[in-house]
Amino acid sequence: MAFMLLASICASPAAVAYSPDLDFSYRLSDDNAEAQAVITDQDGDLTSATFYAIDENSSKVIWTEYRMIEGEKASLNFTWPLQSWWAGNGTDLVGPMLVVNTIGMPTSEAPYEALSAPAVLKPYPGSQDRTTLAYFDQDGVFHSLVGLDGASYYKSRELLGATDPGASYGLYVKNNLSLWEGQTSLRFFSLYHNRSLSPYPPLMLERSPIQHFTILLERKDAPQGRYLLEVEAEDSQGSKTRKIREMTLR
Amino acid sequence: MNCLGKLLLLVALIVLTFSPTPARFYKITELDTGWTTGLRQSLNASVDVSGEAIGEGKYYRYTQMDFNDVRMAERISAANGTMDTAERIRLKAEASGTVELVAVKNPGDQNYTLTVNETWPVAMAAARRMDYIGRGISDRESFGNNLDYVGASFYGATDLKKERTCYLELTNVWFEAFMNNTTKVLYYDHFRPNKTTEYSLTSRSSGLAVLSFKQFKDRAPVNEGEERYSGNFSLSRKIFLASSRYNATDLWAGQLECCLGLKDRSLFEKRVFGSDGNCLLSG
Repeated sequence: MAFMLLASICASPAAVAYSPDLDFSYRLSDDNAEAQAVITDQDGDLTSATFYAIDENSSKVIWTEYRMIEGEKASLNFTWPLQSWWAGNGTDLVGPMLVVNTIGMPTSEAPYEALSAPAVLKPYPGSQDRTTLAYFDQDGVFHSLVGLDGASYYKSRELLGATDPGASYGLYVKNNLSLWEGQTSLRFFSLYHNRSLSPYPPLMLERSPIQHFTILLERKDAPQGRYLLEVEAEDSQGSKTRKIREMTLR
Repeated sequence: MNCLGKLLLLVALIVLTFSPTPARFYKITELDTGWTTGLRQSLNASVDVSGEAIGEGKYYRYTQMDFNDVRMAERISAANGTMDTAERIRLKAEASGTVELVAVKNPGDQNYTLTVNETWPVAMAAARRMDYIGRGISDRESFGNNLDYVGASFYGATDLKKERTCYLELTNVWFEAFMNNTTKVLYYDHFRPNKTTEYSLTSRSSGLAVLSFKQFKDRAPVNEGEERYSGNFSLSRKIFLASSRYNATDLWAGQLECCLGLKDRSLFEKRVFGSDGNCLLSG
């Protein structure tokens, strides 16, 4: 599902008839901004809706929420906790970065793959870059790294225990992992309002896989300023409709 | 000649060789002055210890080695946590060489020079990495080489990552004592091992970290240091201690050291557990 969202973010909307219609409003409180959206589609083939919170000053998307929908009409509530996602390795911190909630993961894996972030993997200096998705739990702990070709580069001890109970993590690390502490790096991305992606400086994997390489997602409060709230709806033909509202955070 | 004979009567010399094993030891004492070499012991031995562990739980470790006063000691106790550790220890000791005792009398007085030249070489290379996060770990280690020592300790660390290599080499030991067997005065007592200690530590830790070293000339300390870090610190230290009586032949020059790749700290895993090429102790 995360792959689909990434493709959705990167693809240009196709111009076809019967694009979804949508309207939304928002309500700002001390803790969050809540958007209520109503989406309709004459074809009745709605597929997804995505909420974006965008820093108007930098044009960076600092929060997203992805939903799967279907049929002709959907009423959705999106909640933005007035925060942005950052990633750190214990030494360096990059952000705000693109992080997307996942949907439809297998039950055993879902707790460990609640969030995903696209990343470029460089296994060692001079090696070829690989495009991957990094998965995190709700606390931001790094649990999995999967290539867009489906190759698995890393599973945490907890995730391996959930997907393959009884498996030895030591043997898994010895026989399956080819990420090297102090050698391997990940570059996460910022997403801009115009849907372009820009990589951050690489974060080195400095610790053991049993310490989740100490790659950790952190939430930081969004600073005061002007923001854009956007809801985008898509149907099965790839037609997209966007609506944007302005918001000031004081 | 009579004087030499008199002196030798006062010297107790013990050299025992066990036939089935090559272990040897000796202790030479001049009874009038009390001068002694102390107990020296070694054997023909090779040690190669390697391994790795990764998991969650508690951990305890005790390591103690001593070959002709080339020593290594570790004490580790870790409460519940996650740990990834790997190590390699390689050692070679030879005790088939000679121990030469020579006593020379000064003409016209009762002063004597007593020398002992021991050639029982030892080389040890030890590398270890550890990555721990948990309720707390205490990790102490020390390396000794004929009075010199270097070591590091971490106490109460809930987060500890360290990489350490240590290379110890002893090629031979030379004792010299100058004494008068009438007045029973010991004019000087030289203890001159040809020894090298090279210690390298990179760490990141919480809690208390202590690094210390001490270097001796003869039997007196001439160089020492201690550092204490309380809190969250990243440390990088290299300590090199060496002393020599003369330009002794470096029997295993650099050969054991290359096994651990001490010259290249960037590929710890490779150098410790990868192929080690023309390593002295391989095979």
